[in-house]
Order: sequence, then structure tokens, then C-alpha cells
Amino acid sequence: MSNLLETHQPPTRHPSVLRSYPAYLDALMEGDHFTCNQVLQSLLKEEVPLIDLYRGLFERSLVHVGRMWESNEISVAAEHMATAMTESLMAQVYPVLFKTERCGRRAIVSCTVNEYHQVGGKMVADLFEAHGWDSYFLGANTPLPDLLAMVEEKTPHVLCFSLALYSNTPTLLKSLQRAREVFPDLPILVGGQAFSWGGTEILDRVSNTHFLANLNVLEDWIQQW
Amino acid sequence: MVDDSHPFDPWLINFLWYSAAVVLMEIDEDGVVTRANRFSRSLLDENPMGKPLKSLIVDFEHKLDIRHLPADGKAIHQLSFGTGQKLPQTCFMRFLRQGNKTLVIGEVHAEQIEQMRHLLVDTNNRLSNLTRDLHKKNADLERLNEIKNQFLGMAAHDLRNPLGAIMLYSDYMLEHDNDTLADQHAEFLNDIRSLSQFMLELINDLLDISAIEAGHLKLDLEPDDLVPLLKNAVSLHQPLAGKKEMDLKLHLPAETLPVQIDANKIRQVLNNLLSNAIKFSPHGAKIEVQATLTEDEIQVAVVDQGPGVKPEEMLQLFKPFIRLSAQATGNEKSTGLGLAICNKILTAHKGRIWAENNPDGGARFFIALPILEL
Repeated sequence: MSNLLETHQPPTRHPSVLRSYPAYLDALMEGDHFTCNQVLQSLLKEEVPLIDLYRGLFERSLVHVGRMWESNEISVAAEHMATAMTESLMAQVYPVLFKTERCGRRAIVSCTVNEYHQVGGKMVADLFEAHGWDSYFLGANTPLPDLLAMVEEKTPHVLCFSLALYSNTPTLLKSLQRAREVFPDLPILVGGQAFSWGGTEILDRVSNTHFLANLNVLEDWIQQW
Repeated sequence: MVDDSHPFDPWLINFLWYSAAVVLMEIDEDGVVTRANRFSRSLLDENPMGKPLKSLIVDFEHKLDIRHLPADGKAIHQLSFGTGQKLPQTCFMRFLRQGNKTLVIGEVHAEQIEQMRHLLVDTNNRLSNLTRDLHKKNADLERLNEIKNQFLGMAAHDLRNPLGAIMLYSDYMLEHDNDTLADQHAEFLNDIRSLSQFMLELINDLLDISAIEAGHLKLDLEPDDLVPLLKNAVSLHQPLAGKKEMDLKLHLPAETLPVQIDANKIRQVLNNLLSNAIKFSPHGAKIEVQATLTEDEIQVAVVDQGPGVKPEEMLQLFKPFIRLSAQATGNEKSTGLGLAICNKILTAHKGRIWAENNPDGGARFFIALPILEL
């Protein structure tokens, strides 16, 4: 497995995003969609790069929400509300995101069976789109046969798996091994919060599989393709 | 069924009333709640004391009769409680009659809660994924539309120049060599001329529609008077109407009709409507142009005596590249774009265009423009 693991890196240094983040986070925790959208719209107007929006606003706030849930500071309902709001806000970026000229490359992005946290995977799919790739996002809890059928149909240049919960690692490994059997030459990328504290060595068991620590690393990978 | 060999332990009773995650309520003979444990109150998000149990249960078919449910403690009833702002919660209930009271005992299955949670999350995920796909498809469609418009524009430009040359040469030969040309050759040249004219009109329309759809329609809006424009359009079409012995008349409600328009574009609209009326009306028909004033609009109707518009074609009338069933009475050709262009021009003027059939034959094509407040 090729390891493109990055050492610790702040999510973004974009000054407008850094300045806007506290208000955005407060509004997100309050369930105040209007204020969150206002923050986002002002950043879109400034033409803040997508990667900074995704990492500095969406990802950073959701990681914060996730940690609050893990430490029982908020309920699962609050966590779901924040996630649903974030997905809705990400949709505000779509009119800009999908206008990029196509480069003829394709990516499939999926979550494994029983993995319901799909926002990270969606960000990966969106980042491919922002670079002109056609990305097919299969969503949460994708049955493996359906995933393999989609790969057969779309013939992507890369297959990506997103994993949020480490407990789903055995399922991920099975999916990787099966995908490798059926598509021996297809590069596979893996990422997600499940690997925040390590555990990437399981990916050594599958050839041509690359771990990408965050969206910045993914962007580098795309640009090097 | 109560096991009398084990009297209730006070600790157990306390546990059931104050801590256990089971629904435990007591109802009287009328089905009214007389006691409810802490879990019940928390689940229902209210104190159910004094309320009929039936009123706490979601029962869309109104078939539930609490008093006649088996109350031997064995039969399990799947009932859904309304939980205030949250989703209804399904519980597996047993009823145990004790004298004139009935114990209501309910379990919430953790597995079921988990299934519901997954279902909700799954549904939310699907919805957001559909939104993403929709935006993606919209972006694809926009790109295709842009490519189409660019192609139309390029093709039209490249075709216009050669056509200009064809028309120029055929005009020259008809004008200067008419005496020396054989009749048949003169006829050929006339056909070349008229077909080239038609192709030029088609190309101009294609250029117009591609410019409009690419968002390049720029109006040069100025305060103006519709009266001279109408008079001019009618006058311009008199020779054409005369060839088919048609009676073309203009009716005006006032000496001035003030509007804010791009005069060239509105002229284009009027020319199109008038030429259509002449094209599709029979020999000797009456064509009227009637302007009327409403409270905030100036409406102009071009009334013809043609075949009218079939009901099933009404909705297609102002769409591009639509060929309707009506036939031109003088073999004139039609590009299929004129009315679509008119529609775009009127919309850009914040006006309207529509058509109606006359009860006694023919059609009326209306345009409406906002009155300019002076």
C-alpha cells in the first residue's frame, strides 16, 4: 500500500474562512440554517476555493460535532441535525461546483455496508467534480454487489471508499479484497474519520490501495494524476 | 397472569415506576389514565394523567377500542404512541386487568428504534444524494445547451456569407441579363433567389434563437409610441396582402400608445405576426390588427381567417423548431422559429404573447406590453 499519510495540518489557512468559522459553528450547533447559509454565501461571493470551504467550514465543524457526540455533550439527534444541515449547505455550492469543464476521467465514491456517515464521501466526490472528473457517489450503506456492478458499468479510473466508524473496518477489508479480485488493476483510495487514530495497516493486505488522510492530500493526488 | 407466590418487592415496584425503560400505566374502567410511570411521561412528552389512553395512541382508522382489548397479560398489541414533537413510538403492549383497573405494560424494542433510525438516516441520505444528482444533471444540461448554441451560431455565420454571394449573383443576372436569359433559366434564377432568401431568414432566425438562449439578448429599451410602429408594420405588409387580394386593416384606440421598448425587436414581432396571418389565411381574407388599452397594458391582436390552431398544438405554438399542421396558402415556407423568437422578445420586455381561436374561424395572436406611465 502506498501511504500518502500527511502529518498534522490545520484544515485551512484561508483568512475569510478562519474569521467566519466561529459564527458558522455556533449557528450550526443552534440549528440556525439561515445564519450558516449567510456565512456560506458570503464566502462563495468572495470565491473562496472549494477545498477551503469544505475543510475549513464543513469538515471542521462536523469533526467538532462528532467529538461532542463521542463525549456525550450532545445527543445523536443533535449530531444528525448538524449533519443534515451540512449536507443541505453543501448543496448551495453545487451550482458552482458542477460548472467545471470535464477532463474525461471518472471516479466512484462509496461508503461500505452499514456505514451511514456519508458526508465525508460526498466531499471526496465533490472534490473530484471540482477538478473536472465525473464522480459517481453511491451514498451510505452501499451493498457490495451493487457497487461492483456500478464499477463494471462506469469503468472509473479510481474507486474510493469512505469509512467513518472504525468498527466497520472488517466490512471495508472484505469490500477491498472483493473489488481487487474483480478489478485487479483499478487504483483504490481509502479515507475517513475511522482512521483518525491510525489503523491503516489493514490496507496493506490489498494491493494498489492508497490511504489519503484528508481532502488536501486527495487534491494533491488528483493534481498529480 | 400474576404469580402470587412472589409478592412484589418494593424495590422492584420503585424501579418499575421511576427507572425502568418500560411503559407502565394504570387505566380505570373508562380507559382513563390514573397512573403513569416516569418512562411513559418522558416518552409521551407530557403527563397523561386524567387523559383517555385512546387519545394518546395514533389510530388513523379509529378502530381501536381499549376497553375490549384482551387483558389477560398474554396478548401483545402493537400500538403507536404520539410523542409530541417527535415521531410516534411503537410499543408492544400488554393489558392486565386487576379488578376495576387495568395495568398497561409496554416495551420499546431497541432493535426497532435502531431500524427506524437507520431508515430515517437512509432516507435523509437518499434525499441529499438526489439533490446532488439533480444539480449535476442540470449542470450537464447547461453545458450541452451552451455547446448547441455555440454550434448554431458558428454554423449560421459560416452559411450566411455564401448565401449572400448566391443572392447577389442571382439578383445581378436577373437585373442585367433578363433580356438574354431563356424563360426557364430566368425561372431557375427566381427560384434560386427565393430559396436563398428563405435560407437567409432561417439562418437569421437560428442566430437570433441561439443568441437569445445563450443569454445574449440585449434590449435597447427606450420610451416609444406603438402607433407609428403599428402603422409602419401594416403599411409594409400591404403589398404582400395585396398579392393575395387580402384586406389588411389597423384599428387604434388612441392617437398614442406609450411604451418602453426596443423598437427593432418589437418591429420584428409585428412583422412575424403579420406575415404569419397573410401566410396562413386564404385568398381574399380579411386581416385586422386591433390595438386595445387595458388598465396597465397595451394589447395588440392580429386577427386572421386562417385554419386556426388545433387545441393539441396550442401549447407547442411558441416553442422552437415546432412544425404545426397548418399549411401556408401560397406555398410560403416557414422556419418554425418565428413565434419562439417573438415569445422570448416579449418575455424580455416583461410582456406576453398568446393565441386564441375565433369562434367563427381563424385565430387571434395577441401581444401585450406594459403601458409606459408618463
